[in-house]
Amino acid sequence: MSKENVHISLKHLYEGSTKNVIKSVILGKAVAGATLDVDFEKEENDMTGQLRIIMRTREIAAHPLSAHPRVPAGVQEALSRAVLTLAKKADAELLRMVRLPDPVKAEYRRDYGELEEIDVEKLAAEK
Amino acid sequence: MSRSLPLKSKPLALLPRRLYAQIVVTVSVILVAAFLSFGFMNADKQAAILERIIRNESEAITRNIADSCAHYLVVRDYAGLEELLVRFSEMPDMVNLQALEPDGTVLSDVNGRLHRPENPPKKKIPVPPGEAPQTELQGENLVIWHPMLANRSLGWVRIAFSLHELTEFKSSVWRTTLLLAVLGIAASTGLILLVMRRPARSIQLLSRFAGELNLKKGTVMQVPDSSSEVEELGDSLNRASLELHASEQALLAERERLAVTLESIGDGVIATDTSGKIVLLNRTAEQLTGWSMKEAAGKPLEDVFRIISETTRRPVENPVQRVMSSRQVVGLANHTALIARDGTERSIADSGAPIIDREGTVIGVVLAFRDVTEKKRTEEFIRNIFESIGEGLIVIDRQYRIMTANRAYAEQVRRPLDLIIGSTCHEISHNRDKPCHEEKDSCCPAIHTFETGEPAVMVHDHSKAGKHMAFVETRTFPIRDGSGTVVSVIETTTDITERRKLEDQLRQAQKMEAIGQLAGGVAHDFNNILTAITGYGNLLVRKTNAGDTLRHYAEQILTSAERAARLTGSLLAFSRKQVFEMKPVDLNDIVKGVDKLLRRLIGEDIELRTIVTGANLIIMADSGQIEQVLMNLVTNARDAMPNGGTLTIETGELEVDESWRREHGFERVGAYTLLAVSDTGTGMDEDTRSRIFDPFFTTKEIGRGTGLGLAIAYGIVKQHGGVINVYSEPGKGTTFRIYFPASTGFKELPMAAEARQPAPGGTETVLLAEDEELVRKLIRLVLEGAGYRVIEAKDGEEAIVLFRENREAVKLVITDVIMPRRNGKEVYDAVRSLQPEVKALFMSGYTADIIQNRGIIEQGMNYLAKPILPDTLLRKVRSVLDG
Repeated sequence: MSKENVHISLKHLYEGSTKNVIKSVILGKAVAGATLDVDFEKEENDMTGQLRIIMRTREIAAHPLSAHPRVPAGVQEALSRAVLTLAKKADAELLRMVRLPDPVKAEYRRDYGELEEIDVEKLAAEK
Repeated sequence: MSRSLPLKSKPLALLPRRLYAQIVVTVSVILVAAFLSFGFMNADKQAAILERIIRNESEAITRNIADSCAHYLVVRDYAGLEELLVRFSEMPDMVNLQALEPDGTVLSDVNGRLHRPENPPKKKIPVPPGEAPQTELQGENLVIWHPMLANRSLGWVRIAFSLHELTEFKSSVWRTTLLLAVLGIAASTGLILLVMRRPARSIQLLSRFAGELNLKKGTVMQVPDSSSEVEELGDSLNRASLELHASEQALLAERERLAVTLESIGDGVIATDTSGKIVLLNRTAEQLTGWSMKEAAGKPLEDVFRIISETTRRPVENPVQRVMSSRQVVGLANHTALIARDGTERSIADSGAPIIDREGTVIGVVLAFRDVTEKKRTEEFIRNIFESIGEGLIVIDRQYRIMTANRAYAEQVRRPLDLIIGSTCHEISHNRDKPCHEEKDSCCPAIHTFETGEPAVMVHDHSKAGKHMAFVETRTFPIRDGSGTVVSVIETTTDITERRKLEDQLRQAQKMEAIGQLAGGVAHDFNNILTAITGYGNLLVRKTNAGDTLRHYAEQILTSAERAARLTGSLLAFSRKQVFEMKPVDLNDIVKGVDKLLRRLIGEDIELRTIVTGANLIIMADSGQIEQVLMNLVTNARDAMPNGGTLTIETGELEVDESWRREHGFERVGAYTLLAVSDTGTGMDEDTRSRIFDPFFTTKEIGRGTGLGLAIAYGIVKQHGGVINVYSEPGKGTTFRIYFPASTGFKELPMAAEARQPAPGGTETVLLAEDEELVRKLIRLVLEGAGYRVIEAKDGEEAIVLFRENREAVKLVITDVIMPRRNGKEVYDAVRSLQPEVKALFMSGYTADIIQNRGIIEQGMNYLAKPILPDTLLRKVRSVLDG
């Protein structure tokens, strides 16, 4: 979500979890936060009720699996294929249980390009 | 009388009545108290420990949480922080977990019970100052503040721990305690019930047994196996039962005995309550009152027990109130009579006594009474006997106290009966303040009888009131009790003063009689001698001429013979063997006639006072003899007044009654004349006084008195049927009182006797019987000298023979009375049988009364006492022949 051309003093922090994002915003540690809507909606209403959704993105696939850069690319690839294979087989049910119902392979542009287009200042002004 | 049970003491109201329950409650209270105490102490102590542990652990947990939270804050992981707190909230007793910024902003607020965060809007709460941890209690929560430190304070962790656990713990402890208490109570109750079941059962049995003891007394019960105390109780109850039974039996026996006694008792018994209502009447009381117990029960005493005074006939006061007020035994007045229901009147003796219970309260009155009618009659009978006895009679107890006395005794001692009874005999009889046997020279028949049990008799002096003494013959007889002990003495007292006097008089009379007989005997023989002396003396005088010496001698002989004849006459007068010429004479005339002669006799230094009464004092007496008495008494008085004095001759009259007769020794009652001769001379003591009438007793010097004067007076007075008494005390003179029987046939003197004629003679033939030759010859000479023819016989037998030979010639038999071989009476009888017409003249030296008393001659026969004077003989012979 961070973008260098935002005129307001903006500091990007990774809070680690949706809940922490929400807490930070509620506690005033951050003026706003971004999180997955599915996660947000899972939070308690009494907490989420204290927040205002100022912007909602289009739906994107979840990327629960990621690899550390130090992980060899081959390994990363092998793992990715294995997961995708599982989704196509009878084991797909198993993945759905870990919230990976229809895994796809991530693609930054496709998946995160929209985020870069968010105008934070505008959002702040609207506020 | 039934008595109400005392009220049961009321136990504490909090305690139940049953022993069981009392023990259970008591034990329970003790257990509860013990458990409460234990619980309180234990719970408090353990709670304190637990609180301390909780506090320490909570502080440790809080510290750890704070440390953990610090990590999250460092990385700004607020959600992680909250997650952490949520996880910790799952720890027990977490109430609330908060993470706060140093300014108090709440970072996270987790509900410990819901284990989820509270998500309130942003808020701030006060935080402790500084950075030191802090622990505080807020309500039931323990709130611990601990700083989150990472080189600096990142904020605070505030955790509220619930102390509910602690409270629960305390409650648990209390519950446990209570449970234990309940269990303890239950267990103890059970145990008590278990342990006490038998004793309680036994106690119940014993209690029932005790309750029914009145019915089951005498039986014993087997006490089930129980404690020794209960067994002891059982034993005690059994013992009590047996003893109660025994006591009841004894009581019943006693009651039976009392009832039988009460019914058998001879006395009437009435019991009343305090209001005087009758509650009991025994059989005797029923008989005496005429009321049955059933009828009398509850009635006022006055209705049943009607008593009156026998003296006043008025009702007697009800004794109940008197007994109750005095609380003592009260005897009713004497002479009380009970009026029975049918009107029968009985004399009763009774007494009342209070019935007092153990507490000293008078609960009634019991009256005991008995019919004393018969007893009173008997007593009256005995009293009459007692009083009818002429002798004094007293009953003396061992203290010499007079228990009773009769009137004769009272008269003897001249004191009232009420004073006598209760006094001692020595006080009353002797004016002594101590018993007679303690006095010197004293004797007491009563003590002799008390000591020996034998009757005693004694003569001694008794005092009378006024110190008059009396001779009393006292006889004592023992009265013994059932054991034979002499408990009292009956004493009879006979006043023998008069008897003694009479005895003295008798002794005196006997003495005088003996002396008189002696004197008379001497005089008789002497008279025979004198008859011869004077006879022959007179013949000698007749045969000689005047101036002749022989005639002078004869005259001297005759003079001495006359004196001797007077002496023998005096002796005969004393011995009352002199023949008096008794005829009515006036005593006053005799006194007046000798007045001049007496005045010459007494001399000039003695004043003679003659006091004669105006009345005629006619007595049958020989006046010459009375003159002789006066002469002798006056002579005696004169000799008793050597220095002069007053001599009083007094006459008077006296009527002698029976008491005077007995007192003074008179032969008969009636009129007497008194001749009293009193002098103011030396008087006499008792010894002299007792002997003055003895012949030849004299207090005069030798030659002045013959000792015959008063003896002759005594004899003359006695021969006149009189009494002579003498009253004399030394220095107070002497009085002789002579009492002559007054002549009842003559109030005046008869005409004076004719003048004497010369001695007559005769020619008749006289048979003379005389054993004394001298006398016989003298009489023969005198008779033959007067013309009579005399035939002599020297004894009675010869006289009879000579009379038979000369019966025709003999006209008169002169015979001595006492002769050998036929006395004068036998001679007389013999010649009378031969010649009834013949006359007789008896002669004797004894007096006519003696001769007559001896039955020698009979009343009316002719008698001549020796010595015989010739003229007297001739006059008598002529008188007999002519008569």
